[in-house]
Amino acid sequence: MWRDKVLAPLKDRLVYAILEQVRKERDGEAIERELVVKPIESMVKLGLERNKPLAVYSETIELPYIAALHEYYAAETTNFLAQNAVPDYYSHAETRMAEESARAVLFLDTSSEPRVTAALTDIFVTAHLPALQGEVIPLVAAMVADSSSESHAAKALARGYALLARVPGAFDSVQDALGAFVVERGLAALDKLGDEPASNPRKYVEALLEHYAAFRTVVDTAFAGSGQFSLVLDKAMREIVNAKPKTNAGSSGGASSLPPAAELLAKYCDMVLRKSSKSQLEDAELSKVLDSVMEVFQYLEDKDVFQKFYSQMLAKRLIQSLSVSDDAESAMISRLKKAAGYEYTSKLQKMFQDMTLSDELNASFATAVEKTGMDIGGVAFSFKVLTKGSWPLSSPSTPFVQPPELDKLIKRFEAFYKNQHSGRELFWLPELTKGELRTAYLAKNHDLIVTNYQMAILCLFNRGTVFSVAEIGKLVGLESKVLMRNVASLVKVKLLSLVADAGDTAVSQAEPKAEAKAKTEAKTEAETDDAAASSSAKPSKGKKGKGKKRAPIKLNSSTKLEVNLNFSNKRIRVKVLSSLIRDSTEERAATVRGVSEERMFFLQAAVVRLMKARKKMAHSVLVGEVCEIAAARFKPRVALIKKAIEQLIDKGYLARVQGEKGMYEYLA
Amino acid sequence: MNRLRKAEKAKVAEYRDVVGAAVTARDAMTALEAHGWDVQTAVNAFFSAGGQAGAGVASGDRAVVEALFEQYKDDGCDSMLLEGVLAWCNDMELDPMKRPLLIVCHKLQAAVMCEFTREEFMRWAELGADSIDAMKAAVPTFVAQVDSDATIFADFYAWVFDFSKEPGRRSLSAESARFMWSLLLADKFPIVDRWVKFLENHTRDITKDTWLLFLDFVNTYGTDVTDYDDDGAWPVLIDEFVEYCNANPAAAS
Repeated sequence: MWRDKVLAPLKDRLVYAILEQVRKERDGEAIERELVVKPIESMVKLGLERNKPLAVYSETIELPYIAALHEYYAAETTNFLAQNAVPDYYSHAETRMAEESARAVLFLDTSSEPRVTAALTDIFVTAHLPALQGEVIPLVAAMVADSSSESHAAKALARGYALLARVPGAFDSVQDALGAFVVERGLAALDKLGDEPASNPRKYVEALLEHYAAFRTVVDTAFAGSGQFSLVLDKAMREIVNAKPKTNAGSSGGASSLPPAAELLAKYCDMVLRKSSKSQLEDAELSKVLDSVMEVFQYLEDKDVFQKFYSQMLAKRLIQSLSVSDDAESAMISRLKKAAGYEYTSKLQKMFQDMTLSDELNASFATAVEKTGMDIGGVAFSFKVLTKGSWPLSSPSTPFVQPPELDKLIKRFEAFYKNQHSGRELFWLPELTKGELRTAYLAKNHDLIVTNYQMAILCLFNRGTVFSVAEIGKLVGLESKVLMRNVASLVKVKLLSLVADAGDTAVSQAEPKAEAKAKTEAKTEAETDDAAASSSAKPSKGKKGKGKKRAPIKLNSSTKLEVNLNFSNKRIRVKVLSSLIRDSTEERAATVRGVSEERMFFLQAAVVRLMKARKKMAHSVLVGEVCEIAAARFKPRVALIKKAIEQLIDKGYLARVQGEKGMYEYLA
Repeated sequence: MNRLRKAEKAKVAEYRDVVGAAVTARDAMTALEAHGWDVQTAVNAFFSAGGQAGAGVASGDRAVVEALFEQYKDDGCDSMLLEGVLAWCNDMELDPMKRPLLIVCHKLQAAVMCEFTREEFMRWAELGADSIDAMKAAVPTFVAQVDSDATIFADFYAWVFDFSKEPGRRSLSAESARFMWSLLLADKFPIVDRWVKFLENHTRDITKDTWLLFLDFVNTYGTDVTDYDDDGAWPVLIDEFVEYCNANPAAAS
């Protein structure tokens, strides 16, 4: 009755009146709210049709109400945006939307809530989407620039995020732009470092982490820790970490086509884990640094390159006893194991274990020596037995005859070792060995810290006074380049001196009584392998040339040398070692070469394994699965996988299936 | 031998029906091949040669071919070597650097360049030519076969790889490969000139796989590389070539 007889004719006027009141309120006038609430309530009550109880309400007032909402704010928002900056609009929209939601709760039936919310989203967000999206990146930039999370930009960004989050997919374009922005900023930050990381890798790691932290804050505070944006950030970080330097101007980049991250990260580890007088880190601090390394590590694609450099540097630390502590070393190895798996660290672990085993071995050998009164020539010793294959070492590059002073020690140790481990073989790596000699022929006696080669050369002078370079070479067996280098370093520190002239001088110089250059103690560290030898490391602590320029030492095979009886040095312990340093760029190039060989080998092995299991595979599937297998170690280029496949075809392991394009078959 | 096509199999069967099953399928094939797969001619040849099973052509021919071989053969071994081959080429009026000779070598299933073993040269008998004149006359037929039938061409093309490479090597030197590609494919596919030019800076040997796939490549993209599928299973060298083409479109003409 009421519906048909009263409402129907009055409807239009009534609705108009109601909406007019609402409009006034929106404009900021005070209205008599009852005048709006009551009629609408009565319309709700008119739900007489049972199956559609709200039909009258919806048709009569809800739809017009929402239409009015649209109409009012379409103009309002456009005007506002025309006159104000987008960040202001964010707060404006926030306020207005809150107002309207509250208004709807008051005036409308609760069933209208979702419709109102959707309308508000349409009006305030969707309608102005490009403008709202466009402001995100500038705000991110502003927020990163002003690091405080309470900054104006941070707040605005959070509002903007909340608005855009109402529209599904609104972030898709923002996300790409943000990713690109993070990458651009990150690369610029690294670029700014220039060549510095090469000498101070800490800068590199710090710059990366600082960059990451800044954007992490953005995601966490402004983007409510959104998973979507976390992924974007991770992807961008991966891109930054694995980027090749843009400008190849720096000489450091020239040696290889590899991105520098893996090597820098390994270097940083070395810096932290290597004993140094300068800055010893506290345990807690060290642990934090290692964690930060791992943060970068997780983004690293060239994990194999890192492993290679890391193991090389670890080898040096262990062989030369330069580690800060065993705990620190094993802390790092266990972190790597956790991040990259058991296999990844198995060699590192083995190297580390070899050290412990060697310590035990030295102790038990010492006990045996003491107990049996074994004659080892009266020298102190320290042996390191390294498992072949686990260490990044190659066999000695030159033949070598140990000085007779060490003969007994070496023979006894070999016998002792073989007795304990029958079937194992020891190979000596004199290139990595150093020793100490005490002089007995000087006014003030010195301890000389020398390489094994230098030791052998000096020991010759226990048995003679003057030797020519050629004679030395014959007696110690060294290949001439190595010989020259070691002799030169002894001459350079003035332990040996050139015999003035050929001929009679040599004879006359023989006159000094055969001084006892009695070696009271020789400490030997010998590195040995279990099966076949390999060696390449060397003390990297170079002796800095003293300020004065020395005249170049001219040596040839007929140069005659004698012991300098007037040798003097301020220090009691004199380090001679330096000559051992091998060209590090050469070593680096070898490492890089090793990496690409190993990659090729790895890919071929992966292809063979897959093909052996499946017998027949399509090219794209095979490439995809190989990529997956390799992912833990490195990210292979497709061309490299194809090369691996081609080589296997060439060697007859695989064949292309006749008549089926892009199919391979396994040939048993 | 067992890679005969249906039509050829039928002809072999027909031939053996007429001349008698004592002639093996293999002999039948050889005889048919020698007469351009024309059953009638082959049958005629069979009977006019005295109808001997075991030879599609007159058995007397073998002696004549053998005599010819002796004439060119090297004194030191049982083969024609460079000198003999060149003399024979001269008599045959075959340019040693041109395709027809290569096709003849394929026909004789020669294993090594500039060399015919007795066994190889004796295939002339099976091919029904026992004089220089007969051999000369046969060459255009061989060439026509290779040119007109893609399957025969593919077989010939694959054979060229093994024939051209140095004995004992698995791959073909880039230089020889370039020469052969120009010789075999350049007139059919203009892109081959670019390929050869592209390879001028390539010093590594060409693998058999790359060699074989290149024929597929020109058959598919010989005139236009714009649709090239670089996610496909093509050898890396071909990928690089297409990249090079796309980077240097100017030289396309």
